Amino acid sequence: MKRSSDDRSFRIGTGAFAALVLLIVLGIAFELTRQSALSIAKFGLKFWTTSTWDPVSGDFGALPFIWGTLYSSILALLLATPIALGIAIFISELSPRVLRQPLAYLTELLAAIPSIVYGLWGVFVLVPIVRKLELATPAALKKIPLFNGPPLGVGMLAAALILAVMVIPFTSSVAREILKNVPSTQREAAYALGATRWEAIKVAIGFGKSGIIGAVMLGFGRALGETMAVTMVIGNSPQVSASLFKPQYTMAAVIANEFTEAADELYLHALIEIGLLLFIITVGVNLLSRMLIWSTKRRAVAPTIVTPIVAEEVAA
Amino acid sequence: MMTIEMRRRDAAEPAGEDASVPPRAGRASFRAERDALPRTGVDVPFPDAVRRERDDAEWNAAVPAAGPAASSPPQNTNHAQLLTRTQPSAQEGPMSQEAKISVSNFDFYYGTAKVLHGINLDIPDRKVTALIGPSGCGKSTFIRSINRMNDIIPDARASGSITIDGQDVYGGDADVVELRRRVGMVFQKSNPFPKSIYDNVAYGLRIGGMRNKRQLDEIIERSLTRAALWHEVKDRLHASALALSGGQQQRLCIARALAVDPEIVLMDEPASALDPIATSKIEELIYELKDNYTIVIVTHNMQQAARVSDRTAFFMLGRLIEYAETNEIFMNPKEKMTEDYVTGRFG
Ligand SMILES: Nc1ncnc2c1ncn2[C@@H]1O[C@H](COP(=O)(O)OP(=O)(O)OP(=O)(O)O)[C@@H](O)[C@H]1O
Ligand SMILES: [Mg+2]
Repeated sequence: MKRSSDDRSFRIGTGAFAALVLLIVLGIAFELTRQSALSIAKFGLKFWTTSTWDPVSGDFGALPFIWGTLYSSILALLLATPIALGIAIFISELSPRVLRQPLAYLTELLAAIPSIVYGLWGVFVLVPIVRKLELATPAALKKIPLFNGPPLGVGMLAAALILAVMVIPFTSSVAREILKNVPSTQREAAYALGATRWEAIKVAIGFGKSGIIGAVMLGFGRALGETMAVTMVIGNSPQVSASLFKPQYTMAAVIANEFTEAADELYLHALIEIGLLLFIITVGVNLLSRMLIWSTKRRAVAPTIVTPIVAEEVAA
Repeated sequence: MMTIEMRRRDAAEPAGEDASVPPRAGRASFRAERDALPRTGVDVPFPDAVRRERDDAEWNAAVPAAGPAASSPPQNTNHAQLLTRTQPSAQEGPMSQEAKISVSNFDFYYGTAKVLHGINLDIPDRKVTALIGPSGCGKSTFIRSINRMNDIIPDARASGSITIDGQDVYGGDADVVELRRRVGMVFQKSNPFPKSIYDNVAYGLRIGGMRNKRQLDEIIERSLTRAALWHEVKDRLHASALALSGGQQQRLCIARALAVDPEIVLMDEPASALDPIATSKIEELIYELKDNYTIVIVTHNMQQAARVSDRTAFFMLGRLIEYAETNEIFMNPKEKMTEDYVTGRFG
């Protein structure tokens, strides 16, 4: 009697915390929607697709910011993913055992550096290097839209590079964890069939595939929301451009920069609506990546369960 | 009798000789003999330590099988007939037959712990050799040494020699990848890849460089047929292998091992996670396979060793205690320890 009631209060207690988390998420979504009601009412879906950002005349469109956020994050993802996976594979599969733990700690340490520090490093080290690179770009290349733009140093390329550096430790430590969870029986199965080391690693990657995709998406989610470092190097100029060299703007950066200046209510609501969009995008990306990681972890145990023999097998 | 002889591929022995030698006791009569033995050991309570080492489920599964032969499924008689063959005769000794695998003075260490001590044995070609012994005695370590699966384990070290067809497995010029293609392995827990049934069986072929779809199809069908799985899966070759039952998954792993056309198949407790019906399927399969493959099987199930193997090696504490014809080991063991172990008494 006593024990079962303990059990129940434990369940209710933990359930309440879980509910609280859900409540907070819903509360944020609700509050963001409420606080951006003016902008939602005035611009509707046009807010997503127009590029004017004019606080003076009260005309707002978020496209350049959505573009800047997605473009810089996707570029960062393209740069970071191969490196992060390389690090994960090296640490979990190739490195000598004594180096494994120190290397793992080191990558996790990179994740703990505050983004303002990355930002400072970006301004003083990365931006000058990018500028030299831009100056060295031959004129013929500059005709291509991708490389078209003034040699400022600050801009999309600098932002993508710094985001990549920040995302690598995240992606690589999650991917390393996934590879570590691949049952050794999978590698053994491959080796026993005459696989080389690399082929056995490929089997492990194949087994953890969806989890690794999840790790990459988690990095993507992190890149989407990153504010400080990006604000310091992207140039903060709202425009939709494929150019790597042109300064652009992101959703997080515009909120951080303009929130204190937003004098009238519509301006404020427009900024908060950008926050709402960012919230929706990041929650979506995170949910997706969690689901992918979870599905590999679940599969890691599934093959070992011995199911009862089905009738047809008995008959055969 | 003639058809049975045709199934045998052992060309080394002339057929005429077969007819002249009285057939060895088949499985059924062997059982009867075994049951007739004084059952002293059975009633003696197991020492706790030993009892724990054995899987109770395995024992339970094994017990009904030890009953009178009449209660066994009909295929048993086939097995009994398959067992009928030239008497390899105990007096010839284990070394006299053509050895496929030859092990001499083999030691094995995990770090500083020595787990195999001077193993010497010759495993004959196209026969089933069972390895038995208490848990932790080094059966898995030994079987994994044959295809060098232990290479993956850091700090593991071997000395002495294992040769296959006279070639040293641990020699400086030995090619591990090639070795493992010649020596297939089936593990205790079935370990299919999270891919389709087809892709599982195709894996070894593909990493070996085979791309021809027709050839792949053909070998996959043949391998699945040999593993007695074809009829159950032929309509869903492209479905996930993980959707198969435990017994089917294990047969899939056998098919996957057979697809690369090994000469030797190592099986480390292949049926220990399976129920009696799935187990008997695997055993039947081993019977079929020994015409073409040299099989080494680790088992904790005495009945299973007695049913499927031609030779049995008894290991204890990292040493090979006794190695002889399976009949000899079970009916007339030379060592006291062997007798105690196979009769269920221990120590
Ligand atoms: N990877 C390893 N590292 C260190 N020691 C090991 C390792 N694998 C096995 N051993 C040790 O080697 C000895 C032999 O183990 P092994 O797995 O070969 O026994 P086994 O006869 O197969 O036992 P079981 O019947 O329980 O499977 C045991 O003492 C075990 O603890
Ligand atoms: Mg074992």
